Amino acid sequence: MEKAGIQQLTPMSPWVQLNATPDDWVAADPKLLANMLASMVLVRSFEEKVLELAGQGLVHGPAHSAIGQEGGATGSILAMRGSDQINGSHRAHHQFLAKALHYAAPKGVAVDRPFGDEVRAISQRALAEILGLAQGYCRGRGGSMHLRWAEAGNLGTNAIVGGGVPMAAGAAWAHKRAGTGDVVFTYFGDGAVNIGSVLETMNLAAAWKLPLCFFIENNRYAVSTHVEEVTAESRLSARGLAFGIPAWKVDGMDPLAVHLAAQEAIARMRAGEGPAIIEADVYRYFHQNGPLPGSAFGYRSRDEEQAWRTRDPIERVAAEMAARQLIGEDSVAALRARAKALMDDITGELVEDHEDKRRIVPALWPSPDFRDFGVRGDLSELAEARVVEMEDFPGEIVEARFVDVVADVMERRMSADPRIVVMGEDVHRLKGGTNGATRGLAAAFPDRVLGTPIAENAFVGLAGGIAMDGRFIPVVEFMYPDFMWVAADQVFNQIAKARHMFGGDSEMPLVLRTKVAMGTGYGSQHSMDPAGIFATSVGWRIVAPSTPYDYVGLMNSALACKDPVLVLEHVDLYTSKGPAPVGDLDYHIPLGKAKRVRRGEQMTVLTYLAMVRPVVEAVDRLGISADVIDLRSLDRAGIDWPLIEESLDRTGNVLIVEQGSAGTSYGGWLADAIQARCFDMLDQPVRRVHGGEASPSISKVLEAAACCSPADIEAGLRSVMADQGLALV
Amino acid sequence: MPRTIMMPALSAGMEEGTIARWLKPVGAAVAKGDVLVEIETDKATMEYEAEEGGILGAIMADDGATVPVNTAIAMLLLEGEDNAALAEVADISTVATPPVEQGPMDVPVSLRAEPEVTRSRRLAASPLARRLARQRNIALEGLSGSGARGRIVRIDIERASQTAVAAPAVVVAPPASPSVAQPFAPPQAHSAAPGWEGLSQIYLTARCEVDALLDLRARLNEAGCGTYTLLVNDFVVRAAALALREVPNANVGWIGSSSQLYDNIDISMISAAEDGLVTSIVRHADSKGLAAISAEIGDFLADSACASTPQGDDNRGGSGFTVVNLGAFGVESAGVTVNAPRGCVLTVGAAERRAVVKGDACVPATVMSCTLSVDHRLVDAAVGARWLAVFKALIEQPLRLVA
Repeated sequence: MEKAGIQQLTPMSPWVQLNATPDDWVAADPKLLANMLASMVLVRSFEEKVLELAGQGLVHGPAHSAIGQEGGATGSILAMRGSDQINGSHRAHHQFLAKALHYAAPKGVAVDRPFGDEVRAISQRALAEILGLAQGYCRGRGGSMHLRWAEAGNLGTNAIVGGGVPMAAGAAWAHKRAGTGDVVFTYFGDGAVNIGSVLETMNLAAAWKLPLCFFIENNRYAVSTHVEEVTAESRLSARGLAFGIPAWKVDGMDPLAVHLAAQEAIARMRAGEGPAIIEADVYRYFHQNGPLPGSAFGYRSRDEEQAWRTRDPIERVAAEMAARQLIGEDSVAALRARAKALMDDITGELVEDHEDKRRIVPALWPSPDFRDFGVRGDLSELAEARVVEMEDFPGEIVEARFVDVVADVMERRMSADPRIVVMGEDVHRLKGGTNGATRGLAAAFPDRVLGTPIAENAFVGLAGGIAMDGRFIPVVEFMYPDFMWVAADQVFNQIAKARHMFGGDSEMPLVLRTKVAMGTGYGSQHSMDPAGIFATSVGWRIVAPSTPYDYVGLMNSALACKDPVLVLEHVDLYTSKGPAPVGDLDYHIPLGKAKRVRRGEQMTVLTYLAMVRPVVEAVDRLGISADVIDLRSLDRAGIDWPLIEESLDRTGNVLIVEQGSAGTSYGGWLADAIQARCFDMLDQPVRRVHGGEASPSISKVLEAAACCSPADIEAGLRSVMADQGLALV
Repeated sequence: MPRTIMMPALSAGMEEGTIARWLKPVGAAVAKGDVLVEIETDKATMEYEAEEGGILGAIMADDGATVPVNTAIAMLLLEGEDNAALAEVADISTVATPPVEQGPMDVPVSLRAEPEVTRSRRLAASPLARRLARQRNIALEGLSGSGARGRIVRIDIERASQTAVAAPAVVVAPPASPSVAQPFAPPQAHSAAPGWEGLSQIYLTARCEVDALLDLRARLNEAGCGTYTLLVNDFVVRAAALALREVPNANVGWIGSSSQLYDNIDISMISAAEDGLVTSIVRHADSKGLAAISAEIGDFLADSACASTPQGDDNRGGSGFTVVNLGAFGVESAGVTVNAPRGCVLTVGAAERRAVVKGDACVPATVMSCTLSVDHRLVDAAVGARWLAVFKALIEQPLRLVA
């Protein structure tokens, strides 16, 4: 009813239910239908074998089957081309296999002939991966939940609900930027629809018109929790209305309906019109994982399960084909038998009988010493880099404002390397972001300096996806380091672990810049030093330049490095002046090389970033003979042990100085590593100076009290002297 | 043959299941696919269906019973069989449900009460101080610590080793020339770690003819054109080192109250200076040539002459085999008391022209008297004598020292 003052609004994007009509089935290409049937039968047989092996205790960890859901994956994937890409979640065997099969056999898997070698090889490598064996796609590292075969467009599946979605957006961004017309499908379930990664990415993908399809497999249950218990709008494709993303709702038990929706979505995406949402109503016949039905756990009824089973997607396609006399019952049975025989056969390569029990063929396990292989790269990409320390710099060194050099070196790199793209909140405005660190970049490279929504998890994850794609080098800015907590999944679970988790050789060339802001009065949630937390995250490299000169060389190395690198900056340094090069912004400072800035015999002081200068001043003021070492690289692999051990062997005493609060502080693990390596060199315990227990407060006095001050540094130095019997007067 | 129905494994790792309830009584007709029984695991309740038809002949695990996987829970009579057939399957009671044994709670080892371990309070000394003390054979007991809470730190060891150098733990046994005996102070109490009680010493003396050595020395010095000046002492250090290589059991000393066989051949030299004694040490002396040994000792003496107080660092200790050369004072021979941490001290007297009987003739020769003092608890006389014989042979055939 119309009412005065009320005007009906309509969403900007369409939202439709798409059903396959009898005419559609009649019109469908017989080859397509045959391919669908073969693909789904292979996938089903594969998953039944996985459950059988799980029942025998041979699958270590969960085996999340998608038996019953094949129509969604196969229907959509057969609408793609080989260079399109997908990723998925913990329940992804069906998508992974369907994509791999479609890539390996682009003309389709025949229903009436023996499977080819490529079908067998794909099945065996996938099964081996799920069993955790060395011949798997990720050398057994990933197992059931981390399946990656980049060549086939399988970007890597994910055990964090919704965690792979931002990464998929990164791949889509790379396709758009490269202009290939390729698209990405990111598959996830009803359980993932309510998590931030997905919703943030929907917003970002729509804002940037990325060729990304959010494919929701709505199987109704997040483990045992029904979709209607956790959301008011359980027609999940309705999420698109909030972001201006066109959405299709389809019956996922009808592979042709899925296929038709996917074709429409892909056409739109290839045309540059941005993302799409497809919601497929599907059903997993079994529980979350393992071989029991959900009804065994009491959260749904056997009647409900039976009702869905009567609409089985494989039987549907077989029946429709039979109706068109494209296949007979015997041929379908023969196809199923061939698929089962293939799975038995490949299982025979991996599993053997041993003393009345089934076991993995022992020789197939990965070697235990493969444990840490590939947690990071070997830095061979920097082997030829031109290293010039400041003492050896042939040109002129002048005093320059730190933040100007930050912008200058990025401008220089972006000019030289069109792959580099900068993104973050306000980096494109305000004359170089909130601090001027990106000054001039947006004007020089308008399409490569991207102001993001305030959605750190999505945009850093998107950058991770770009980095993994490899065609572009993302440089992300976190306006404040504390925002890493907001983006923690993407920063620590995804970006940090991807290389290792997927087998050890995929690269992640990403630079994350952030500034420590202690002293600016931004309070408890903006004043951390993130080095300590990042140092716990194997995979990240961390650099913390204390001078403009070092910043240039370390940023150049970070940008050339194939691993993710956190580049720490500091507001106190931004406005300070320090030595900077004239006329050369191309040299490197090696990752993993510390620098001695004072030489002495009575103690070694290890410090970094904005603490280097006050430490040197305090040492000079007190007249202590100290080795002051600017660590520069802070990650586990970047500690310059030769320099530290040489120093400690002479001095016997060590003090670690950092500015931030105790809980998240950096020095704890370093102290542990020092005592483990250098115990017999020590004349007293490893000593530390850091801030207080609480995060810094906004009140100026309280903030100063919470951070490490010059007085704290002096007290630390005096204490180290006193405890070696050399108390200062 | 009736079919035995076993407790199924419903999931990986399932070891036992509980009969929630039987849905068919004994004697009931059962069709394939009928639900026979509901089985509970810790998470799930599963309906178990008959895999074939028949009559439920016996139930061996009643409602509520928990039984291991693959244990018989029922017997199914197939078509044409009756209860008599059950007898074929041995005695049912023998396959009946064994009670699931609930063993005593397995307490993790870490949670078990451990007997109280009484530990004596450890002397607080930094790792660096401990290492230096070990290298210099300085006992930590009795030192006062300058570090936090009285911890013994590097500086305390350095101070102690300076004291030890100024008053070495070596005294000359009487009789000796008073002018030489005077600088030898009595040992510090703490450096007599094994204690004076029961200290037994043996003195072994050999007369070495050194004409060949002196001749070789003159020729080598001439050939060196001033790049080095070898002293007799340098030959003695080298010969001592090579003899130790041959008789390694003489390369011993004390660490605290334990004896120590050294791996490295380090020779300590005690030289008399105007105002006391100076100890230098030649590490790995067996692998150094005469010129290197000479330079090392020379450098050391020059350094200690310049320095107002001897510098203590870990190159200047005073353990291991020790040579005392009293030749410059005209002392013919002396037996020096060995004190911990040392095990052997060789005292070298002056080289003098003497009459030596060779065959039946009395001929002049230059003779140097060398006395080996050994701590008898470490080195027995046979080892000492053997060492001395090897040493004498090297001194008298000096070309072997440059080989």
